Amino acid sequence: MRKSQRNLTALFSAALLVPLMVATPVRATDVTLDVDTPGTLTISVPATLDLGTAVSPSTINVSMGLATVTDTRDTGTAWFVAVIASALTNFDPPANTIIPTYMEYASGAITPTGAGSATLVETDQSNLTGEVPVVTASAVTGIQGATWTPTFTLHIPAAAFNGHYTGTITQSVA
Amino acid sequence: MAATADAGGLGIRIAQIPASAENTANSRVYIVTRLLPGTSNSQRLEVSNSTDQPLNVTIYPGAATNVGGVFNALPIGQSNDLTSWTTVSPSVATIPAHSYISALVTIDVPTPVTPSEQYGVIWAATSSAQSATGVTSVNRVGIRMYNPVGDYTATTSASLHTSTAATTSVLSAGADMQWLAIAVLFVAMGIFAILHYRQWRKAVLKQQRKLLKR
Repeated sequence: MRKSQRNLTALFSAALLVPLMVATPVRATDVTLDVDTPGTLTISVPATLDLGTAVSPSTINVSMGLATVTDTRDTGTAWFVAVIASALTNFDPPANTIIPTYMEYASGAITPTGAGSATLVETDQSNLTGEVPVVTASAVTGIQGATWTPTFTLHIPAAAFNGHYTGTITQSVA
Repeated sequence: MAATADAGGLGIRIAQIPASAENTANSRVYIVTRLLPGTSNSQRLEVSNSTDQPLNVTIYPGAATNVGGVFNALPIGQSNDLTSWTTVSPSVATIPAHSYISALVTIDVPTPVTPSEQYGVIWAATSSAQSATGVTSVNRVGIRMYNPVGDYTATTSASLHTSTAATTSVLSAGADMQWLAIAVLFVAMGIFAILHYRQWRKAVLKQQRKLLKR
């Protein structure tokens, strides 16, 4: 009788152990490896963008300064540059916004750089509401990159009020 | 080709990859780790400043899509499951001129999760000074993320093409089968121990009886 009790205890202990093991959260203890390839994807630092003063309705064209992408990864992987703008907001009463549908981005001529090669395609955009592609690099080989001097265009609608407008324009490469 | 133009800028690279992703295609340029439910996945990136001035940077995850093999970043403020699981430390830093910092990307996967493939970008961003008219210009450089989740199987992660197989079942873990195997093993070990304990006990009792008879 005692023996069977002991056996039953052992069996129940084993049975309890199983769900405990299964319920234990899996926390990664994965080993990591240092990567010795030094290649980076780099974008230039943005220049200050001054739109100046204008009346409505009118159109402003401003150079955004030199944009540079350098890809030293040497892995043959494509990259793209996308642009997005926030609405320009005038916090002076009466508050007003100029939405990104009134904004344009033109890359202008793109100059390839580096010893490698890539098929560079520029796409001018007339609506900066979303992350819209403006430069893509495909069929990439070796260390390469590109430079261009984009132009930002703002169409100030007739309905825009006088005031001091603020906003953000973002160029991204990945 | 023109000569290399390197005026300096904000750079990013993979500095460390999980061993499990070592042989995954593009693991040296993208974050491609398979994300199993309940796991914490970390790897180090390097964010560099090759300009002559210190750079103030922010580092954060952003959502992305991969439709028809075309990878697109989503606007700031939009999120997906992957970005909600991802943190970067530090998220704000000043990088000295001609220097770099390490940034640790950690993806904590909840459980259960729906098998899928998730897309995102780890962005490093730097801003211009605000102009007199109040416009700020921001440039960002990013590491793409192509992460299969759970036991999602598709050819997309490695080849970066559009996924075709979307499993809709919810699994508590892609690794559940492993745990089941461990559980079966423990049960077998338990039964084995019980059976052998009986035999051992019999032998001991027999020995004791012999000794008592003497």
